[in-house]
Formats: sequence, structure tokens, C-alpha cells
Amino acid sequence: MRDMTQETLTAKDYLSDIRPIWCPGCGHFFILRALAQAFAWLKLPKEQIGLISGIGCSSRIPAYINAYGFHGVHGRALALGTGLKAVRPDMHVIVAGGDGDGYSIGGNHFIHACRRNMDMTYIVMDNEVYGMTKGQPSPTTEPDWESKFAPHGTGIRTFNPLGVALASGASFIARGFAGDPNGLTKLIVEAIEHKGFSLVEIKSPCVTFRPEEKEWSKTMRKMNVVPTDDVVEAARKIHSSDGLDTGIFYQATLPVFEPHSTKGKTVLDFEKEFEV
Amino acid sequence: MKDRIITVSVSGSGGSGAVTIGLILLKSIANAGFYGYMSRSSGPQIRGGESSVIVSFSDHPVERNADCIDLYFALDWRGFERFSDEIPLNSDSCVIFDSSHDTLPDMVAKTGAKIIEVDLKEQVKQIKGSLPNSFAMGILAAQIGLSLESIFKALQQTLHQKDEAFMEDTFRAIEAGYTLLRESPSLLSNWQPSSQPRWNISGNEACGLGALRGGIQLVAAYPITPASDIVEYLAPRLEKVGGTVLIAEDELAAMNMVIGGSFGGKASMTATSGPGISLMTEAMGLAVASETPALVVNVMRGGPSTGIPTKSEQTDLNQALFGMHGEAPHVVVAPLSIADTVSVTQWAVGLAEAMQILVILLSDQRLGQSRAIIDAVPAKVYGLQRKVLAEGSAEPYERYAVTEDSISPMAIPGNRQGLYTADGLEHTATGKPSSMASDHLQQLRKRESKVAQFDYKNEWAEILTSGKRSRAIVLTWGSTFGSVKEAVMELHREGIAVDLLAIRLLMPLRVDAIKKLCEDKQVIVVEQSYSGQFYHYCLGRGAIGASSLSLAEAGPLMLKKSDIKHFIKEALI
Ligand SMILES: Cc1ncc(C[n+]2csc(CCOP(=O)(O)OP(=O)(O)O)c2C)c(N)n1
Ligand code: SF4
Repeated sequence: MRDMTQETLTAKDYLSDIRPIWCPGCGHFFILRALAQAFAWLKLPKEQIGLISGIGCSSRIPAYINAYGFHGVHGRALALGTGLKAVRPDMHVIVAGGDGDGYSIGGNHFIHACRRNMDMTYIVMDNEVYGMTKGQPSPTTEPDWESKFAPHGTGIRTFNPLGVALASGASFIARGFAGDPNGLTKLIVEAIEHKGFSLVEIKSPCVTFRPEEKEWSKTMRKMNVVPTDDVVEAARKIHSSDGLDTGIFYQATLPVFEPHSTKGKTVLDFEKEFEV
Repeated sequence: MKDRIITVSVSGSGGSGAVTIGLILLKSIANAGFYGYMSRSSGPQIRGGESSVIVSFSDHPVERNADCIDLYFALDWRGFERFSDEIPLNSDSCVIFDSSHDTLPDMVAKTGAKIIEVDLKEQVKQIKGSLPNSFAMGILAAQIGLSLESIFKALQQTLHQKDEAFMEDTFRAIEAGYTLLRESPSLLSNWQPSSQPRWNISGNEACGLGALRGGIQLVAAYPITPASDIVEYLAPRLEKVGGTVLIAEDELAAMNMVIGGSFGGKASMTATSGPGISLMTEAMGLAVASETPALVVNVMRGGPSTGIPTKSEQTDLNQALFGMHGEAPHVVVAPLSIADTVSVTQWAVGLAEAMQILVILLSDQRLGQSRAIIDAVPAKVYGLQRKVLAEGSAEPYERYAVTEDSISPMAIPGNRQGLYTADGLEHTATGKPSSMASDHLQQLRKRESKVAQFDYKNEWAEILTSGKRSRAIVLTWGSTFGSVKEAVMELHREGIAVDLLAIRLLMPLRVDAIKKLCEDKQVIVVEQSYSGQFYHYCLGRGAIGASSLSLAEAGPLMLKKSDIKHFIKEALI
């Protein structure tokens, strides 16, 4: 996939000159950087990248990358990306957003995008909170995390994105950490190179509403997971992980949905069907 | 026949073959050189419920069912009370029914219609392998005056049957039915067969064809009655002209897929009905804000909520006009007939592309699921194309640049010079998110002015004048046009001068043009809604005056020509 004929671009070349609105220290900065690094490593032509997002702090990312981008509505980025990929198989479609965007309001699209297994990459910047709306619990928030919105915690068990992705048919499933730039870049590169739907779920601290997540830099394990193409083995790994393991949990070759359009007929051929 | 239109209805419980008889009748009429229109109605059952068809035909194009049934064949009376109000009978009607297992319902006897009983069970016994509906087919053909050849030909076209013995038995049964009732008057005498190239097409197929002509390359949709037929028409065809149909997981996805496809440079659309529109509304606003071309077809059904999924109403007008939050200028169009659906859909694709905007096309169940024999609709050239950024342009690119016509060149991914991020957030001319008052005002103005300035040409309405000085003008839109037109033409024949203005471009409303046409005339607004949505819209926009009258009736029953005529006459007193 890496195109050696392309001119050499550095990560910087993929960053736009718009300054991110993010709080200083936000994990999303590191993901932005890793994404640009991955593009540079792969030498992707900027005009062949379609970076699609929904709404949230994380979903602001397309404007910060120098490529084609779409900042859509909350939760629907995967659908928008699917539409783009369906008509433009030549494009590298990267969908990005937060845990609220992808697992809550966009949960249905997440399941079906995994099922479709189209050749695109989904980057979830998971901070276990709704950052943009100022600190409400998300599907990945622990049930006992107290907030104004849920003074006694949500009382609802956390969502397991990797498990859901595996059950739904995604063919590349990885967890990364914003605080491990090198590991993260590698994961994103492999995800983009993978033929099929690739999920990169990235733990990204929200320093403003979950300052305790800064501790992740001590607790997250760096790239310790050994990939497998065996679903049962992957399920065991995903479900036995405490959430601090990173790396590729599952990578397999599965049927990729590609709309089969051909040419050869004209509208006139179809008009004839109506003739009496 | 005063207005040379014959209307035949057939009904029966599920599996009785009422719809097949209707389809064959329509084809036979076409084979005989005439025009026809078939509407169908079914109960809520998925399969096995009662269903009825009404076929009107004539030697000139017909785009609605007549007010009253001339000939009605009840294959049985089961479930009749559930749609009796859709089969208007009177003392001029002739009712034929199978007396072998049913007696005549009181409500039918009371209409004063002429009644003919036939014992189909007895007939079936005489020809082995035959079905009651074949005899019914023959009886109807004879009563109408259609030749056996035209029926046989239509049968072959419809059934594509491989089983020769079955076809043989069916032909014999039809033949037997044909000669069963002796005193068959031919209703078709002195009709002139047409030599025009004609089509047998449903409204939903017409929409699909219009989309193909318009150059649609992506359809993303989630199934819903009565819109699914459009997708089912397109699915096997679009892929053969290089396009794609995406099966969405819901309407939220469908609308966003459309936006994604369009962003990728391909004309994209979805087709749905009221509940689906409700789910799509947020993303429809995204198409407006991000200036991404998108066509949304709404085949309206009875509402609110799940409403009456299988039947027609024009009540999603307010939703189409005002459904989005914020100020979201967009275009709303509506075809007036099945033939018109071909052209208006093609036009709608062009408008969406050329204006980089959301276009909502309002069809309805009556228009979409009716089938007609119409004159072939020639392809039109609208000259509407997306304004795209040329490859290799040197200037720094501004996606939302303010231009003279307020439409800015759109960069298609792949073009090196056009990198940008489309956004539903308010933005500057370059597309950078901005919450500044000045940027908001600039972009609001731009989006509003491209709609206001655009030249919609003569397509915006169909105008029918009496040729004399009319004292009244009737305003209408959508499928209601069929009945209104017939009413107005009948009034013309009676020497009463009335104009008719049927509006295709519902938004932006051509207020000044409407005002001018309505000047010094009694305005009558006819529509199929309970609350008079269209009337209030025209009134609110100042297109019509306070003395205008409203004839608004809820669905699902079609507005009758006679009621419209009566209303107009009363208004003129
Ligand atoms: C339909 C809709 N509902 C609610 C919102 C408000 N909203 C904006 S962002 C957001 C959650 C963002 O959280 P997440 O996706 O986890 O991203 P983060 O900000 O944490 O990066 C919500 C609820 C919205 N924009 N649209
Ligand atoms: S609120 Fe949290 S997620 Fe949002 S920018 Fe600030 S630190 Fe990042």
C-alpha cells in the first residue's frame, strides 16, 4: 500500500493551519499527530484521503488535517463514510470520533459498519466521557462515576466496543493509547493497510472532565497484545482484558462488501421495458 | 359515456387474483390502443388480506379514477365493508358477483346498482384446472367490449407462464366467461385507438426512471411502504449503469450515506415516507448547511406517526417546508401526475446538483403506486449540472466562497487543489468553523440567495386557463391535480371560465407570479389535508388573499371531481 513513487511528505504536511480547540493536554492532540504520522509513513496522497467525523471534541479532527474531510452530525459519521466509500472505492476513508458519537448515538451504525466490513478505518477517541457537552457519562464510563448528569453514577455496565465489533463482523480490531505515539502510529498504519473494516479504539484522556485519566500513562500496557485471526481466541483475549492492554486483538481476512456496479446498459434500455 | 371514461373495479380476498385481473385489464386496454389508470388498495394484512383495484380507461390519457364505478366485479364479499367507501357505486353502476358462496350485502343492494349474479363454482366444475378469476376476467372483457385477442396477449405478457396446460385451461375459462352473459354492450364503440408510443408505468417506476435520467449514481434507503417500490425498481437497474444501491440500517444512515456519496462527487438520493423523513431530518439540515447536493423523495402516506401506511394523503407538506431546525433554505418540488413524475424527478436531481442543495420531492401513495398507460415521456434537457472546481486551478480554494449566483464551485475528492472540510457547523468562506455573527450572516445570505435567485424557468407550475376572462382560479398541487383538472375542464365545457394553477415548485414559492395570476379572481385552494396546510402556506406567504377559499379534505379517499366542481360553482354564485 505504501506508495514509493509519491513525493516524501512529513507528518507536518498533513496538518492544516487551523488551531485545534482542544484543552491543553487533551489526549486527542496525540491522536491527531499519530494520524498525520501514519499518513506520512504510508505516503497517502492528501487528495485521496476522506476523513469523516460526527460531533464532539474528537470529531473536530478533520479540520486539523490537510485532506478532504467532512464534519457531519452527531453519531452518523460511519454512515457518511460508507456512502463515500461506496461511490469512491479509490478513496482512503478514515472515520473518526468519540465514544459517545460512535457507541451511543451512533451505536447502530457501528454494528452495521462492522457487519458490512467495507474497506475503511474507524478511529474512536475514547475518553470515557462526553467532553464537548462538558462531562456527562458515556457508554464506556464506569457505572459508579458520579457527575452532575448522573449524581449516583449511571448504574449501567460499560459497553465493550471490541467485543461488539468482533461479534458484528469487523475484520481488524485493535486498542491503542494516545500516550504511546509510536505504537499508535503503527496501529493506524496497519488498520489503514488492512483490507476490510478496521476499528482502532484509542484510550484518550479527557484532562478537563476526567483528570484521573492522566494515570493511564502509568497503567496502560504498550502494544502487549499478540494478534490472532481466530475468532474464539480473539473473543477470549477481548473479554479477559482489563481494558489496559493495547495492540491488535483480531485481524482476519473476511468478505469485504463492495457494491458491484457495472456499465453496459443505458437508460434507454430501461425505457423500452415500459413500451406497450 | 359522457366523458368517455370507463371505470371498472375488482375486489376479493387475498389470493382471489383481483390485482392480477386489474393488471391484465390495463394491459389489454393498452393493447387495444387506449389509455388507462389503475389504483389499488389493500387492507392492512401483509398477505391474504382483501384487495381491490380500480381501473379507469379512455381513448385519451387519464390520470385518476372516475368518481363512480361503472362496472364492479366482486370475486367475493369478504372484507368488503373495509373498503366499500373506496368503491363508489350508484344506480348507474353494474355489479357482478359470484353467488356460489355469498349473498349480496345490504349496503350494495341499497346503492340501486344493477346486479348480475354468476355462479362461478358451477363454471369452474366444467373446465378442469380453471380458476374462478379467469371466468371473471372473461366476463369483464365481454362487458367492456375488449377483444379476446387483446386479453390473451396481455395474459401472456403478465404471467410469462411456462406451464402450457395451465395457460390452455385459463384461455378456455376466459373464453367461457366471455360468452356467459349474452347481452354484453360494448362500451368502447366509436373510441379512437391511439397510434402514439405509449408506456405502462407506475408512479414509483416513473420516479426511478426520472432518477436514472437525472444521472443518479447512489441510492441509499431503508424499506418503507409506499416508497420501497422505487428502490426495488432501481436496485437491479442502477448497478448496470455504473451506480450503486446501499441498503441502509435505518433512515438516519440512509440520509448520511446520500451525503457521503454526493460529497464523493456522485448524484445521490434516497426514497422514503413520512416516518423515514422524520428520522432523516437532522441530516437533511446537514446537506443544507454543508451545501451538499441531495435528493430526498417522500412518497407520502396517511399520518401522523405510523398512520395509514398503505394509503394516500398530502399531509407531509408542512414537514417538507418547515421540518428542519434553524434556517435551512432548500427546495421542495412535487409532480402532478405519473407522467410528470418522470420529468420532475429528473428536474429535482438537476436542481440538487446545480444548486448544491437539498431537494425534497413530494409524491404520494396514490401517485406512486398507481399504474397508468400514458404517452411515452420524452427525456428533457434541463442543463442543470454541478459546478465543480477545475483540476489544476491555482488560486487558494474557498469552498463556500460568496459568488454572484451564491453557488460556489465544489471540489471533488481527488482534486489536489480543492482540499477542504465540509461542515455542518457554521463556517467561513473557506469552511473553517466559526460562530461569529458576521460569518453566520454571510453564509445565511449566501444559502438563502442561491435559492431566491435561481431561475426555475417555466417548470414551476402548470397553468391551465379557460381562454376567457375567468372569475376564479383553482390552486392545487400533487396528485390532487388529476381530479381538479377534470373538474375544471368539465366546467370549461359547461361554459364556466375558471383557471387552474398547479404548483410544482412548492419551495421557494413563486409568490409574485402566483399573486399576478390570482389578481381579481376568486381563489380556491384544493388539497388533500384535513387542516388545509397548502392553503395556510399560500396565505401566510401572501401569495393569495384573505378572501381565498379552502377545499381541504383528509385522506385517504381521493377528492372527487364532482365535489370539486360543486365547490367551485358554489364559490362563483
Ligand atoms: C443529536 C445531537 N444530540 C446531542 C448533541 C450534543 N452533543 C455534542 S457532542 C456530544 C457528545 C460528545 O462526546 P464524544 O462523542 O464522546 O466526544 P468527546 O467530546 O468526548 O471527544 C453530545 C451529546 C448533538 N450535537 N446532537
Ligand atoms: S473537554 Fe476533554 S475531550 Fe474535550 S478537548 Fe478538553 S480535554 Fe479534550
